[in-house]
Amino acid sequence: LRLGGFSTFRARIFWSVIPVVLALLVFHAFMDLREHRRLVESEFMKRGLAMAANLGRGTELGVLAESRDILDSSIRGVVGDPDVAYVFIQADDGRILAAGGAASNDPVAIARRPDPGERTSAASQAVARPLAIGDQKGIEFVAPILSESGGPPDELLLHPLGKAGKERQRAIGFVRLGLSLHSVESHVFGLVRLWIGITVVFFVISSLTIYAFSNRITRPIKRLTAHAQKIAEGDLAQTIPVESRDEIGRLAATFNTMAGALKENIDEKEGVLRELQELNQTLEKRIHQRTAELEERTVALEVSLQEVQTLAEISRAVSSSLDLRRVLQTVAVHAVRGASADACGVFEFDAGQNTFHVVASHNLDARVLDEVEDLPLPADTAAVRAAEPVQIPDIVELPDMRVRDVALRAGFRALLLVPVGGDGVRHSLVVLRRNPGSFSERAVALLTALADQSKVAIENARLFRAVESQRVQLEQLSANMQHLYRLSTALQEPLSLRDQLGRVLDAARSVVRIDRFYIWVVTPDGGHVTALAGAGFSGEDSRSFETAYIPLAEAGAIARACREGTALVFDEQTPVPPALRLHEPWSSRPALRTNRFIVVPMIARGRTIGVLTADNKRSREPIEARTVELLKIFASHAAVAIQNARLFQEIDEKGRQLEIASRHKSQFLANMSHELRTPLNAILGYTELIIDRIYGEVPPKIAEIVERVDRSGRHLLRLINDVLDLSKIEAGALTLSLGEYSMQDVIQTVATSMEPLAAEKALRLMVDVPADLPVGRGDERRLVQVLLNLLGNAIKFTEAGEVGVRARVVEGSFLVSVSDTGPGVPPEHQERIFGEFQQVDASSTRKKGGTGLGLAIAKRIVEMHAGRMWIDSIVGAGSTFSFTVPIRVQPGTAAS
Amino acid sequence: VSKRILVIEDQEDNRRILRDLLTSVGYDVVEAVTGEDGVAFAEAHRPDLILMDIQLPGLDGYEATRRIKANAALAAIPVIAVTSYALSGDDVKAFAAGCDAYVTKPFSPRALLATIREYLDTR
Repeated sequence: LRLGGFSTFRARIFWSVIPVVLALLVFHAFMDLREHRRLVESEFMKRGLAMAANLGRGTELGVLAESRDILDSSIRGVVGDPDVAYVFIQADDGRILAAGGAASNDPVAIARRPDPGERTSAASQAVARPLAIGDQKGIEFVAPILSESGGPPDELLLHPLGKAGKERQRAIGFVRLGLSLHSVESHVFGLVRLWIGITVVFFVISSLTIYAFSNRITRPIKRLTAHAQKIAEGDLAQTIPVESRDEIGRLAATFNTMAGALKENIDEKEGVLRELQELNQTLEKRIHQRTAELEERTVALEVSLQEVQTLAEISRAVSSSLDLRRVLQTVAVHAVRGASADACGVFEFDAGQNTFHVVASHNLDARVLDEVEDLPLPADTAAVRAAEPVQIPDIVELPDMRVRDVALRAGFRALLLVPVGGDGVRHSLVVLRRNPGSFSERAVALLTALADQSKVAIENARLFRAVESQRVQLEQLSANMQHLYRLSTALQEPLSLRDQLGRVLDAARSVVRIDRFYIWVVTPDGGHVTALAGAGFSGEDSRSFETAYIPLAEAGAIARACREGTALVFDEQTPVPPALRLHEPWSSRPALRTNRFIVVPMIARGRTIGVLTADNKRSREPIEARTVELLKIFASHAAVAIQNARLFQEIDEKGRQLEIASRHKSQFLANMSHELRTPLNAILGYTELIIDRIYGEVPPKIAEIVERVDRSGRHLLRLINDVLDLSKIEAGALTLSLGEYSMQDVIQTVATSMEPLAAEKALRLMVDVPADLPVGRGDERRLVQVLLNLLGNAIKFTEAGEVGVRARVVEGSFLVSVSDTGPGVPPEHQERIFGEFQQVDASSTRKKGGTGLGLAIAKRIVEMHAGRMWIDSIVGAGSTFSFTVPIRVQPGTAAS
Repeated sequence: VSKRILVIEDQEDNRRILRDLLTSVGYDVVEAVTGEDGVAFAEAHRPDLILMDIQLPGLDGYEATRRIKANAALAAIPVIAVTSYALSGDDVKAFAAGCDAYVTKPFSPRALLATIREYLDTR
């Protein structure tokens, strides 16, 4: 039994129950003992008193008789009682009449005499008083010995007893009985021991009970704890037996549930983990597998790659190099590497002489090559001539021949021969190995591929030689073509003639090997040739050449080429004949001094306009044969350039003349209109004076005629004004006088002045102008003129309905539209009406009285404002003339 | 007292038209053919108004106007330019020279008369 302090549940139960039990027991024992003692003591007292009283009564006679024997026999029975310590029968006067008991000799006992008080109280009945004899405790009982009969009555003693009425008794002595308390005490002591025993027994029993009980309580808890610990340690398979339905039972059940849930959870996780592990393993396995596969493939690929690379390299070598020996050398190197051989040779065999000839080799030393070179073919040439690869696993086994010996001497044992090309074999690819044994199929295949490539290379080399010469020619041709192309495109560009000729000569210099070029042109009068351009001259030479102005008669070969239109070549074989030499002083000019040169005529449109001459004065190289033909092309280019330049000059000149003529025309018109107006002024002035009756009354008929004169005069004036405006615009003499204006005011002014005309024809005049139009900048008077014209036309051509003016601001410009409900303008005339003297219908000019210039002028004025004018019209529905002018016309932007 | 108008005009017909027009409504008309004469007559006759042709032989209308306007005694006389120069900017030149009004040829006698009255009636 381990209690372990207070730390355990059991100890706590134990230590909380045991003291209570013990206290109860002690308390109970104490109470019980006290009760017993009281009972025993009271019994003892009663017995003592009774014994003393009995003795008193029994000894009356003995005392009366004072007989010792009687008394002794009276007390004998009492003395035998073990509790009796002593018995004294004493006479009234205190004399001891008889004594008995173990302690009857004890002086203390003897000496004890009851005092009178005691005697008095004991006179009627026994009394008890404590007594100590030696170490013994005891009680002394005193009982009187009464006598009714005789004896000397002692009045003094009896009187207080007050028993006068009854029997007159008298105390004749008294009995002193000493009873030892020993038996009582031993009884009590026995009881104490009993209680101690009971207590011990109880203690033991209760301890055991508590232990058992606590055990019963703590066992399931312990078990629970143990299980919980096991669960905590991860042993979830444990289930706690549920033994009761109490809290612990429930706790256990809960634990089980919890453990179950936990187990499930963990099981699940473990399941997942296991699956994962399995998966992992599977994956690892697969990866291993794949890796292995990949490795296998990589190896295979590497091998293939190597082969492909080999082939590619060969292929590259074949295509990049046309040097057959180098290609075959590369083939040999790769053949050794690809077939895991030790050496390789590419042989050509000469069918005529029946011998080998080494073309390329790898790892074959010079001595071996020397020996093999020009070796006669073995008797059995079938192997060499075969179109199939030939394997010789061990050269030793070959029949005896020189090739065999050479190979063996060089240390080779195995041989593989692959013919290059199917039929008509002329080359063979031979690989050699020091170890005997067959070459692998792969090696054979690779070598076959190499042989094919070699065949291509050999074929290429042959073709190359054939092509190379053609290529050079083609390249030359291509370069020439390029130059010519560049030249012909260059000549389209507008360049000065000198630049163009410079280009022609530059192009020519890059194509042909010529030091110096000259371009000579025949002067327009046909009497001279003059230098126009040159190339390849030093500065000084260039000047002496450029200032040459040679009469045709003195120009020798140049003059002849010009005259006849044919090329002339003078070289070592055909020197310049004296007749064709340049005359003095031209021939002495250093730039012109030459006697080997080419003269090519420059012909444009069938006419020789000059010559191109070329020489190799500096390099003194002979002039190539093809040069003449090429120079003819360049000469024709130069001719075109010169011709173009002349044409351009001509056109330019004509343009200038036209411009001047136009200016003259405009000036003329301006002048004429002014001159016309002066007399017209007089006509109109007089007419008006007549009409206004300044000259007095006019006969009606004349008045009517004068009115007609006035109308015609005004029409003429309008015409003259319009012509003047137009001519001023065309002459650029009309300039805008820009100023601030209000478009609203402009429109209002025009509408107001036109209102009477509209009213005359019963037309509605609609004006739609926003009040918030911005302030414009432009030529207000001219804009009024434009609007007057448009609105005037609208009214003029509209018979019924309405005319309207509308203004808006659109993208920084005023957009002004004048619309009418007139006959409209057919689409085909819409463009034309803006031209001069154009009306839709020529007859309407007369009918409507227009000049046919108004729209043209209006359009020009708008355009001078950097605006534009157009018409939208539907025949029968009406027309809308619109124009835009920038709100702020910038000075200088006005288009003329 | 009738108002006096100085007409400076080199064209015979135009002079006549103006004379006929102006005399018919009761103005006194003084005529000058050249610019120099015009300036001299202006000083001599002190007209109430001057009609100035611009295109004159010798001293032109602009210069003549400038001289008249330069003369403090004559500066107040209104000068109406009469010109067949209908080019833009002519009006500006005319005003710059000191002209008070501007009428283009061919003028309507009726319209010219209205302009003249505008100046004379306000005085």
